[in-house]
Amino acid sequence: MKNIKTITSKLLITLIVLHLFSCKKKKEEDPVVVNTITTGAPTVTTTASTNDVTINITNMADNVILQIAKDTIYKPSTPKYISAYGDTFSVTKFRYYISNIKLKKQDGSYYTETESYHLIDASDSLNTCKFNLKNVPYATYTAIEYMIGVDSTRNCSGAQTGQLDPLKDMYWNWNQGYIFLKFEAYTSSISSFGGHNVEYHVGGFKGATNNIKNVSLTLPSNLVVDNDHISKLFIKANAKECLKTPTTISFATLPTAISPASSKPIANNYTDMFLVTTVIH
Amino acid sequence: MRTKIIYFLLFSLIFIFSCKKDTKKINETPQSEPTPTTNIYLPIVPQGWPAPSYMFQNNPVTYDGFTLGRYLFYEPLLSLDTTVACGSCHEQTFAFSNGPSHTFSHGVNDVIGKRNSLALFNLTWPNQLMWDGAVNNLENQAITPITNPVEMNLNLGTAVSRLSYSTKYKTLFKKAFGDTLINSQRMLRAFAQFMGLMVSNNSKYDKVKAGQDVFTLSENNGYAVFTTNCAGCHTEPLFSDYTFRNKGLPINAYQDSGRYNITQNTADIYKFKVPTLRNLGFTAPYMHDGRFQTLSEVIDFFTNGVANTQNLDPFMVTPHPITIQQKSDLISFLNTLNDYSFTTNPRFSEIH
Ligand code: HEC
Ligand code: HEC
Repeated sequence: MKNIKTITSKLLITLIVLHLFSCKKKKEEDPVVVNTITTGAPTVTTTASTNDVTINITNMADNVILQIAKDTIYKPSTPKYISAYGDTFSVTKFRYYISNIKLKKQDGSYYTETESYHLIDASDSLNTCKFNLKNVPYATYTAIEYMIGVDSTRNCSGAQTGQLDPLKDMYWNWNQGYIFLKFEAYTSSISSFGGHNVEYHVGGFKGATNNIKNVSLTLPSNLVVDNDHISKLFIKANAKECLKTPTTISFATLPTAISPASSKPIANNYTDMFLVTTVIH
Repeated sequence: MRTKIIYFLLFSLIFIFSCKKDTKKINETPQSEPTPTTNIYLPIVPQGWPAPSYMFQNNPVTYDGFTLGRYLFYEPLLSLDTTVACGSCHEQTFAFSNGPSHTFSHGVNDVIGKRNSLALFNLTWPNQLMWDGAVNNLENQAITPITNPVEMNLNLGTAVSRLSYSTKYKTLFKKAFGDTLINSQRMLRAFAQFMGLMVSNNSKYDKVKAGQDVFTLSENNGYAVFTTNCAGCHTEPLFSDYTFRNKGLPINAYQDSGRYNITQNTADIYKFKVPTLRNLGFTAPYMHDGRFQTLSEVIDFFTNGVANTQNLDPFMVTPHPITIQQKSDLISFLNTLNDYSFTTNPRFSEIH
């Protein structure tokens, strides 16, 4: 009873509010009913004292830019890498979410990006590896912090769209929730399944199988945001970190890891794959 | 409660009509509220029931949204070979379960899954769906059967693009959401509107609780047997506490470890979601693998068949004898939970 009452009264209030706004005829600039639902925090309309900051991510295999193999079998031209364990491999897929980006000011306070979800895809660097943080207040910033993965709230908040659209092929249907990172490869080593394919899908946001990783990166030099330029942060993501420290991964013994529990070592490995290389003002 | 809703509707009508000229403006606000004619499909929370866990926060129910969901629910285009719809495994006459001839559900190409189809009603209350809790929000539920190889086996992107090519769905999405954009979020929210409004609360039991009917002597005795033996897990008024438990079913050939598949926690091996006991008259066979055909078999298992498997629920460790008389009374009581008005409600019936 209580519930229907609260729901009814809430709807009633909303309707009255809508009614009031809709009936004022002349003023076009009526404050719009703030939509606190779809996007979480309402966007604050900012005045002059902010600017954008560009984030630029380069996916690497140690010191070289990661190439995504288009072929499904080895050809002499296929880019090859050697893992810490000693396996030779080519990467066919490397994509991951970074979310909840924050910039830390000198005074210890934070800029927080709203609706902060970015799917980075090494096979589509042009469209996914470079984006702007909007409305960053003028200040000097010393660090960037974010999550690798998707926070538990969004994992449980129902149908999402945009970067979190389940069509992006980063969603588990058998154990619902986002896949945080996909690392797929083929290797010249023969796996325990008898094949050459390697498939790691990392996810899991609950309890013992929570694989959300928080990253905090100190900037090599201060990031100054002012009205002068759009400042830029260059970040390197080393895909080979998925395969080492603390756990050295052998493809023969771990050809696939596609559940929250089995992918945990991969998540623990890649926590340190990011490095801010340059800050440009 | 009815009167409340009617008052509310009247109010809304008065409000909207009083400034009819500006209705366009209403639609331009970021989250447009349903228009008055569509408000008749308000979510229902029956008196005395706990708060639902899915509250349609981002997904206000409208008649058109609900109707779109209804079309989608019966839409075989959403399966790879266009032969299977949600409604193929969830039939209204069986309270949206699969019916007595199917122990396991048949998907595309007649592939058979390893679990018995669940009945669909009162779905906004559990915060985890499926026998093992694989789904954590009603809005995302449809993703799983559409993409599951043993069910509809269709890539979600293909599902959305098939709808986008259909003029019928362009019209239906426009009615429901204001424009012809068809995306996964809108599709999933429409599903949730349809399934979320499938509320079954009109059984004899409900009428007795509302003072509009009385139990027979046998039903009343059965209620007492239920309260002693079953209510700890199959809690009123939803007849489930929606926890995961091992009731002591002997392990089947599939070695299905249930909740453990999701949590990988050994304390969850062999645990399954406590299902509701409403509408059992329509939903045979019973249990996650459909191993029992009748309620009599279920109760015999309860008294004599419990296996001491890993993580057996503490309540099931000690025997709970039920006499032959008690058994027949219990069955009479369970039959008071059948809601014929739900299985015949034209609102939910097949539509193409
Ligand atoms: C091939 C048969 C089949 C089809 C088709 C099918 N389902 Fe199901 N459904 C099942 C089975 C079996 C279960 C139980 C699965 C489990 O728990 O692992 C289930 C469970 C569910 C549940 C969970 C109910 C609860 O109480 O937890 C919902 C909701 C549901 N299905 C909705 C749908 C929708 C929506 C569609 C269409 C998009 C659909 N189903 C298509 C067989 C099917
Ligand atoms: C310890 C908790 C517990 C108690 C007590 C309990 N149940 Fe259950 N019940 C469950 C669980 C868990 C399941 C699902 C089991 C499965 O499929 O693996 C279930 C399933 C059922 C089903 C199958 C429903 C369906 O849709 O398939 C029926 C019928 C049932 N119980 C009736 C009863 C009756 C009658 C009693 C009392 C005599 C009772 N239960 C006592 C936990 C319990």
